[in-house]
Amino acid sequence: MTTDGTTDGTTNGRCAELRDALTEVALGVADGTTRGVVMAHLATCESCRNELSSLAAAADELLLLVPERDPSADFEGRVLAQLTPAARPAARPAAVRRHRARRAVLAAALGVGLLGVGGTGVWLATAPDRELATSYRSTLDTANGRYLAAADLTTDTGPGGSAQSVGTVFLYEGNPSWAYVVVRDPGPAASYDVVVTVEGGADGGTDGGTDGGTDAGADAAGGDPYEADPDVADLDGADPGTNLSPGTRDVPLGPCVVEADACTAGGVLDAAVPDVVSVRLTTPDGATWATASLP
Amino acid sequence: MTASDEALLAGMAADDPDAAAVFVRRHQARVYGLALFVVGIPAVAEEVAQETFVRAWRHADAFDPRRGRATTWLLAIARHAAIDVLRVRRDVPVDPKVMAEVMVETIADPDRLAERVATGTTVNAALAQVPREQATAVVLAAVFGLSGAEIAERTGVPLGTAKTRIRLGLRHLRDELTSRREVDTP
Repeated sequence: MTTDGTTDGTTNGRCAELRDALTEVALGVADGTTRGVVMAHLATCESCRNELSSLAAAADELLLLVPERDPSADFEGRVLAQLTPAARPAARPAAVRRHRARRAVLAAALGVGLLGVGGTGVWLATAPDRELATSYRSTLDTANGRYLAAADLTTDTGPGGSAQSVGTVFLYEGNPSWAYVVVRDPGPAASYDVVVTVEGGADGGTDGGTDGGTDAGADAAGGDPYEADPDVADLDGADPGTNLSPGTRDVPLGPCVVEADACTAGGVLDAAVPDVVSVRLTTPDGATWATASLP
Repeated sequence: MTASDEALLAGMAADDPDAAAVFVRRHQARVYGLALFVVGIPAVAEEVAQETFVRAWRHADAFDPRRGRATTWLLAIARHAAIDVLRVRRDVPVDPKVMAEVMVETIADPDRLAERVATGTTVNAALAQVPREQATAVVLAAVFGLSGAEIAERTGVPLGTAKTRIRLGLRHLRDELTSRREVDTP
């Protein structure tokens, strides 16, 4: 572990440029675009990964400084009354988990999964973007970014017919795997649907997506990657494009809503990263606006 | 013999209500303290603290002791829950800037510092070594979830200054913590 404080002085120019951004990621307060940029760099820079890891640990320790306070006398009883096996989503009967319940299940699944690899990352359905950021941080940190793939997102036909780079797609192979899209230069539409095309048409549980930012309630097609219940897995991959080339399937990732000239989307990817062929952004009328092809 | 937090979390993952009771009793003042510090309203802070324990219970089986202490893990959950409330509610009376400054001042007070160091936590002493305005900026981000831009706005400094403060402050803190640990564990 090289956390001796000399990192700043020995790193290359890119690391120096990203110091502020890395700090915000470590503190869990970076926005989507900043995170995307940092992620791309971390994939190839071990010293920044170590730096992030040690800074994040220091940030977490600050929480110990807040003074303790006693809650009201009946607090303990009220809490314990809620800590029953039924409070665990995974313990609920599968039949409960249909359409409307799915969103909550997905949130819970993400929480469990990312906690599993990340330690401090917690998914909250109410603040998806920021929470996901923290989870990414921990996840990447844990895996040392070994399974991170990134690809340039380019428009299919830019001005003059040439493709134009508009953003970056990140894919992380883990448990769960996830995909994250950052669009720096959003075209004309107010929002795009993100669709991941995966090799292998066999049903592996066709869903697995969530909204990337603005609306925790967006009805993303979501599934529980930990849920072995095929009944759940089969329900919703049906609506998005099924007109695929043989041997591939489409996995919807959710909407990418443009805000302040950028958009981000991310979610659990129910597929192995090496099987991902491409990630597409489609406009509301169904046309493909930009594509990232994976090597 | 007292059960470790790790053992209690393992018990909670196995639906052991006794383990949950001990765990809640042990940590409720810390969790509630953080919630109250961030949201400022006792009733809301209790909701946040309650939600924190429910999430800890749900995810107890995912806690990995190799990744850090149970206390830090639990407080990170509490922080998320409290910040969510802070972002949604407009009636929260807390001024993060004031709270962060009070916290930093308290830590820098030599009398109180001696008292706290005696309790065995290193992070107080480490933060006391960080220049005040940097420490305040770091606390605003780490505890209240404020971004560099939000810190700039609240503390009335340019964005670049705010970003520099959290960058230098957090690194300074990290380095202090590292050197103190090295002294503690030869």
